[in-house]
Amino acid sequence: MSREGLLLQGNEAVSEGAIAAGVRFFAGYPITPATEISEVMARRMPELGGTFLQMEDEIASISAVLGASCGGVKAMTASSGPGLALKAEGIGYAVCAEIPCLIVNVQRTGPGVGSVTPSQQDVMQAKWGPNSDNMIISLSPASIKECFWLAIRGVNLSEKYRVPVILLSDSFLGHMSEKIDLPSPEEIETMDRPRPTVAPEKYKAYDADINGVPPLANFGEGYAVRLVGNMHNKAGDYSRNPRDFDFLINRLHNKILTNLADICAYEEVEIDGADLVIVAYGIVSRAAKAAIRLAKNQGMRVGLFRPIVLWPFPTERLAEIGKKVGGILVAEMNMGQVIREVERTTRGEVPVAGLNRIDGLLINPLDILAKLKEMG
Amino acid sequence: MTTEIRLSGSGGQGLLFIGRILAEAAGVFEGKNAVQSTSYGGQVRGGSSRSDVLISPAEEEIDFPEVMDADLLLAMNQEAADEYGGKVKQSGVVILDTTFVKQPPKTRGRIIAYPFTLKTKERLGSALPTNVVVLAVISQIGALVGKEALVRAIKKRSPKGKDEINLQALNLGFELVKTGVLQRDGDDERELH
Repeated sequence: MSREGLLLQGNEAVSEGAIAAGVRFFAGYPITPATEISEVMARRMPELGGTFLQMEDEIASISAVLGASCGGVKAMTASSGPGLALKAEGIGYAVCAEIPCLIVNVQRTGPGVGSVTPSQQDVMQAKWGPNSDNMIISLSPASIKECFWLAIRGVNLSEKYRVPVILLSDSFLGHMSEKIDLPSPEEIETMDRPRPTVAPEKYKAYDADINGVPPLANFGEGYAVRLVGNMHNKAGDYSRNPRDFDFLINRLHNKILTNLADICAYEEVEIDGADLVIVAYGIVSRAAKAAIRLAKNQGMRVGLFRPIVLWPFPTERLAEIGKKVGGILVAEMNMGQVIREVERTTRGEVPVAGLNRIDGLLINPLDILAKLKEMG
Repeated sequence: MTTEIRLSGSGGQGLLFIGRILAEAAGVFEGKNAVQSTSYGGQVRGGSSRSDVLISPAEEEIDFPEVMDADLLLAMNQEAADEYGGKVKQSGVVILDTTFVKQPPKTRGRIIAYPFTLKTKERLGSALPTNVVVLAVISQIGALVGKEALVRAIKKRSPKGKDEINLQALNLGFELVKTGVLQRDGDDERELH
């Protein structure tokens, strides 16, 4: 692939990024505004010797993805909030059984079936959709370039940590077009799941220390592969032993939480010397950047903190910022989801205000500017 | 300096198509920054449709991807003219297709009014490529992008068998600007007032 500029939609860029990361299996069920991802994959997978399956429903789609991943293929699916609600069962299973996969949610508006316009209403669903103390990674792109690169990052993180990764796009970004210079393959770092280094007879499916990621063998290569969605011990045996529960649930968290320096990513704009800081992510961060530009013209000093990885939430850095500034404005296209994390993180040490929009339209830079002035 | 272009009208008028052509011509073939977005639900024939394109020099990043105050507004129906006419800069230009827009909107911008759809049908035998005629006009009036880049983007993005008629439409748009007919027929706007 030579370096060439292309005009891509977000949904196309996500697909191409996943392909560049090595995804060769896609299973999905059509839903606006994510359908273009299925369309691209339906065309591209056969070209690359991969597999595209349109399944009978959302649960079948995530199940097919998990099966493919167990077979050793990097696998993904794409949907929108209502589809993710159905997929929650499979995602939770992947968390417990530690099956790598990329799940794209092109977010739309409203509860229930909702509507097809953009939103950021599934941030908490990404984290808490499945049952239990769910530990996943979730990424939030803000441009077409990031749709491409975060799809790669998402596949890599899912492989490295054996965890489902949820890429939170939205209906606006999914259909927006922007120029992107596609990199050559040697510029792309790809990662693979840890593989067993022991002989098949010595392999234990979940053999890792309390912070570790166990090696994963493929089905059909002589190893006793146990992928278990029940509570289990290191051998992958079904367990009802409280010590096994404690060890496993802690390890599923620790393998992420002891690697925050590797996993977390955020962008900071003009934080130093800022009186007020906007916390915004995804498409809204672009309105925030425009608002900062407008505020600067009016003599205000405003910065931006943009989580690129939303889950795990970048608490450490945000807590530091909270101690230095006079106020934080959280702008998001929902009723106030990330603001809960910001409040939890800053522990009342700084005033935190929210700017919310839930009508399917983008938050406008002028709305952010007006709110900043109100905060003074 | 970012140039903000809003293309508005009805679903089926091909506004998303020319928005993408414009963004591709400017972004990919002329090396500028370009963002194109669309309001949802307009892709089916009949509904309202809007496509925003923002173009900036290569060294200048585009932050907010929607038009705030348009430098160029195209309105291909009355509803769009009325809705967006007020969101145009003082220095902006409003291009109306008088085949459908009978009342000029309240706007700060300079109005260019011409029956694009009617004239395209007369000249090319079909009203379908009106969008490309208008694209050529907008590109020149806003000095947005050169003809060569437009030709490349049209060849790349036209459905099979449609590139020839689209290139004819592009030439017609260039001719309308060159011959000054738009300014002359722009007198229509007085009748409209």
